[in-house]
Amino acid sequence: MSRTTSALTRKALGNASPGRFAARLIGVRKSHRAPGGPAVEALRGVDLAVPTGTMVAVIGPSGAGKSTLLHCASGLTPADSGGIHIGETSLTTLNERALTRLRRDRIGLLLPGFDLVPALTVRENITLPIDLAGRGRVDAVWSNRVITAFGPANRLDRRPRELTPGERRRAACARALIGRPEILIADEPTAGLDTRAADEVLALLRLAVSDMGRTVLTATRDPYVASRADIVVFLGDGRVLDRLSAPDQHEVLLRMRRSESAAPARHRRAER
Amino acid sequence: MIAPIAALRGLRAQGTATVSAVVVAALTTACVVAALAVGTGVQRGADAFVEKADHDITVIVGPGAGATPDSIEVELARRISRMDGVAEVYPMVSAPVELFDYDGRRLGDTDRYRDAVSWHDRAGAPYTFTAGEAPERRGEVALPSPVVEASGVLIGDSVLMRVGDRENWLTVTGSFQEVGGTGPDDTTGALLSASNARNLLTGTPTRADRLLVAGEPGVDERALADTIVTGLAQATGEPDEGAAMAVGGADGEVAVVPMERLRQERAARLGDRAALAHTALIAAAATALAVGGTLLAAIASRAAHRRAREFALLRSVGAGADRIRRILLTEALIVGSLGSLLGVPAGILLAGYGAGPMEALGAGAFAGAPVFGPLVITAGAMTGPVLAAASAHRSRRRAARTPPVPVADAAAVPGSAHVNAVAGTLLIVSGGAAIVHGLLGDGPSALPAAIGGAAAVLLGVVVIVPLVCAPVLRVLFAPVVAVTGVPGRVARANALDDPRRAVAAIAALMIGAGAVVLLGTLDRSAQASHADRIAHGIGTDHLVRSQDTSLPLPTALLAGIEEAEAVDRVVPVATTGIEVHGEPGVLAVADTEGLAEALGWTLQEGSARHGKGEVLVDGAVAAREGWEVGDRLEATFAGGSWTELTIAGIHRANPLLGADYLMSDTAFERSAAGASEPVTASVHVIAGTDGAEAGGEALAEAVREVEGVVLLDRDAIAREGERWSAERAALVRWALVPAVALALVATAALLSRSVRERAGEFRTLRAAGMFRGQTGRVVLLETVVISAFGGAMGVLTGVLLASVVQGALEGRGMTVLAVPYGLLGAVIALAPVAGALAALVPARDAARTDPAPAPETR
Ligand SMILES: Nc1ncnc2c1ncn2[C@@H]1O[C@H](COP(=O)(O)OP(=O)(O)O)[C@@H](O)[C@H]1O
Ligand SMILES: [Mg+2]
Repeated sequence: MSRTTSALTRKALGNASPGRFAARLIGVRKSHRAPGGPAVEALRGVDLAVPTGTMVAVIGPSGAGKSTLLHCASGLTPADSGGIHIGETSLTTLNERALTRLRRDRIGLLLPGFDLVPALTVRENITLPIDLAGRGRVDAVWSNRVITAFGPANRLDRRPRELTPGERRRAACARALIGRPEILIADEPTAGLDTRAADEVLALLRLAVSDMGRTVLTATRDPYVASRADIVVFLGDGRVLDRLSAPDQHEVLLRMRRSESAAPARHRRAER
Repeated sequence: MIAPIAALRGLRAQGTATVSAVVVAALTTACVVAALAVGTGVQRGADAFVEKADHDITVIVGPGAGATPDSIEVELARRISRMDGVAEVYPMVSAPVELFDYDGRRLGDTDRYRDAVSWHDRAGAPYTFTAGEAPERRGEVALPSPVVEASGVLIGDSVLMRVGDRENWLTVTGSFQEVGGTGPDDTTGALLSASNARNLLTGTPTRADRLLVAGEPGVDERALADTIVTGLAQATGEPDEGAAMAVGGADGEVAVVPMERLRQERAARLGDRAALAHTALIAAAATALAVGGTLLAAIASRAAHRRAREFALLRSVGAGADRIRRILLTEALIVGSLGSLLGVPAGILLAGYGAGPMEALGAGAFAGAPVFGPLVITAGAMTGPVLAAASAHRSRRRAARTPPVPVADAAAVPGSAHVNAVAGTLLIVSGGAAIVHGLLGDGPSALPAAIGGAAAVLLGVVVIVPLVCAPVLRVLFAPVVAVTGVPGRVARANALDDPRRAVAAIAALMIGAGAVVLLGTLDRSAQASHADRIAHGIGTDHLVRSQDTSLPLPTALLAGIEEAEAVDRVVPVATTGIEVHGEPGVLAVADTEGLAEALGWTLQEGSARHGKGEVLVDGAVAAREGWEVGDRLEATFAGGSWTELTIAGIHRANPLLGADYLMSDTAFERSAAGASEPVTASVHVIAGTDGAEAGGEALAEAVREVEGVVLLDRDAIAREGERWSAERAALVRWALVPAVALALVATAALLSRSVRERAGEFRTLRAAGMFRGQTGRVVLLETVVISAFGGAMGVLTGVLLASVVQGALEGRGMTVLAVPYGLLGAVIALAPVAGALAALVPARDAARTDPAPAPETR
């Protein structure tokens, strides 16, 4: 089954030359079934291509399916159907171990909530993926660059709890970058941060794209964050509602209002 | 009324912490209840046995010291039964037998020597039939119910009984439980009908080992004994011989012993065994309480630590320190009560299995059913709440002191490192002082002081562990990190980052391992001290003893021994019962000089010279009672004479003597006028320089002829001591079960909680590309190293405490400190394995952590 899916995907994006897209999702569907509850269709056929060397932001209200989309794209959760590629690798054919290795070697992940291991120092947290992969992969120039990009050098040997929330998020971001990933997937990277700290995190993500040549796929509810991306994808109720290139904050807000009113209300949640 | 509601909410929010606290409280309660119930049962059983077994017997008639090496003629029974005041006479026969089932498998323990005994249907027979019926006819046999249960032999089956070289097939009619007996070696192996027993066991149907004489109601024991003596003398018509046939162990053909004497001796010996069983049970309950308390304290400390924010919030909305303390106290009481609620029934179940250990301690034969009286149940109901409330005291104080300002992070709550350091140092110093006082001092307070001091030192070490924890863990982790890489590094970071968690686990394992090592070392030291005594202090080469200590050795045999080749010296030891301040004891009557040579007997205090109205006391007894030289004792000798005795000297405890008090022949004769004659049931034989070998052969020759007499050489004497310490080893094993079980359960509980708490961390690791196996290994490695540390600490403190206790017991015979290196090695090797076992499930849970965060969790 997975073979036919990947063949389908290849046909659909057949004209895309290899390396043009860091990640591709074709007709991805995913429902969650909470124990005892009804199945919730979080993704209802999502197509998404993330061009290499760009920053793509998925924006939508709470419950739109953004996190589910990012989890599927990074191989944390399997999709119910549809095709998912990281570079040329189809995730649907990979087993648990191969997915773990893929995360370790080719994807940088920045997830909300628990971001750093409290017992490890900041430096150990940042270098965790390359340490896990073995010292052979350590590229001193690259890791120095990432560590410098993180910022305060005097905090490197501290514990995460001694850092400000913004610094912690940047450290998590640096860890996502340390393995020279093909794609950095960041779910709500600025949630809960004040404006200045959020700006610093965004600056780091931009730097990853512009200076380090990485690709970033992020999800957010904040039009300002989305406006810093190259491409904005509007998600509502598990569907892609709209797309926008070279956005500005005002335009994003406008389109968001429009797509929200177009989307059926039944699945919407109160947003703060 | 707010406190209970707030407490219930708090407990619900605590989830797993509450559950683990309840489990620990329940386990501790169960151990306490079981120990108390079994202990009370043992005590009652022992009392009941002394009171009931053979209560219908007034006098025992056995072969006297002057008897030819032959047993009693049954004809004698007929004559006695016609005498005044005699209701019934039971001729008893017994002999060692071996039993085999239909397939030729040996029944019962292979190395045990069991007797088949004649069964008489009488009120005081110490047997109850648990199934089937008593053997009545020829060819019938009843077996002990443990043997029946273990072998699967059924009623109606045939078994083969071998006596010497004779074999007989018998049909099993029933199974019985023995109410009496003083140890596993003395328990009955089979019951046969009286006539059947005489036929099969003696080969001569007209003979019996001894006669149990039941008097008519209200008859006086000594009067009846006198009647029998006179009656027998008249009947034989030989007044000269009759005059020699005195009550007790005189040189007559027949010894007539009033039951009272035997009853006193039984009470003393059973009392010792009941006390041993009791000590074991108290040790078990105490270890359970210590481990349970430490664990509850650790759980409470972690919970309070994690709730700092909640307490700060409460304080900021106006809750006083008192209110927080009250909420937490109520929580502890609820947890403890739940624990007791579960623990009491669990303890009742557990007590059902208490029979096993009691059997091993030699108390099985008389251990009554566990007693669940109001006292036991009340103690069980109190254990949980009191323990939970007391062990959470410190965390309560700390929580109440939370300042009412928002706490940014749980870690921001100030620790109490220097408080720990000061408290730990104080405990160690004061404990050390108590030990020194205990070791140098004397009197009844010495041992408790030494042991209390040792406990304080142990507690001090537990308090100080967190401070030395980090450097030691760093060293221990070095090789682990080198081998395993990142998982090892993360494990090390985790262990070092949260000392509270590490220390809780270390303390749990340390107490478990420490208890194992302490008791193991003491056991080995007791054994080594015994061996040392045999090797150095003891001149005895051979010991000749009656199998039944109520019956004397034949004088002819004594004369034969003295004349035997290569025999240098013979030291007879006579014993009798004595009651001192109402407590039954055993009095040895012997020559102290001879004992010094034969048994390495030495004086501890006072003088060995004593005369009328003076007595020597065993050091252990004196220490227990707090007696000193010059003290006056109210004593009643077996046979009824009351007198006041002054302690002339206290001698070092000597288990080979097996008596609590000692008097010389002359002192006894002058002090105990009218009392029953002591019975010479054993003699120590010292061989000449030309070798014990030849002497042994000559003795064996002399003893072979006489029934009911055993000959032990030096090796056999040493083995008796080993049996004694094997009992103690059983005690050790059973006292350890709760400690080790609690340590493991606690480690597992602490771990599974910490894994659940750290779910986010494991998710991060998994998301960053850590394989499942590596994630599981983080938990496993952390536990293995921590438990290795706990085990090593336990070994250190265990040996330290053992050396303290040995020092304190030096005067009481524990002269050698023998460290069981094998055991130490095993503990050090097994502690990490135990930790790994406890970590298996938590490690699996960690490995299975879903790397995708659940939606909207934060
Ligand atoms: N593990 C899950 N179990 C059940 N329902 C889930 C789970 N994860 C997400 N959902 C549901 O799927 C929908 C999309 O969730 P999510 O992808 O987290 O949205 P977003 O990140 O845009 O807020 C929501 O209705 C959410 O409740
Ligand atoms: Mg989300």
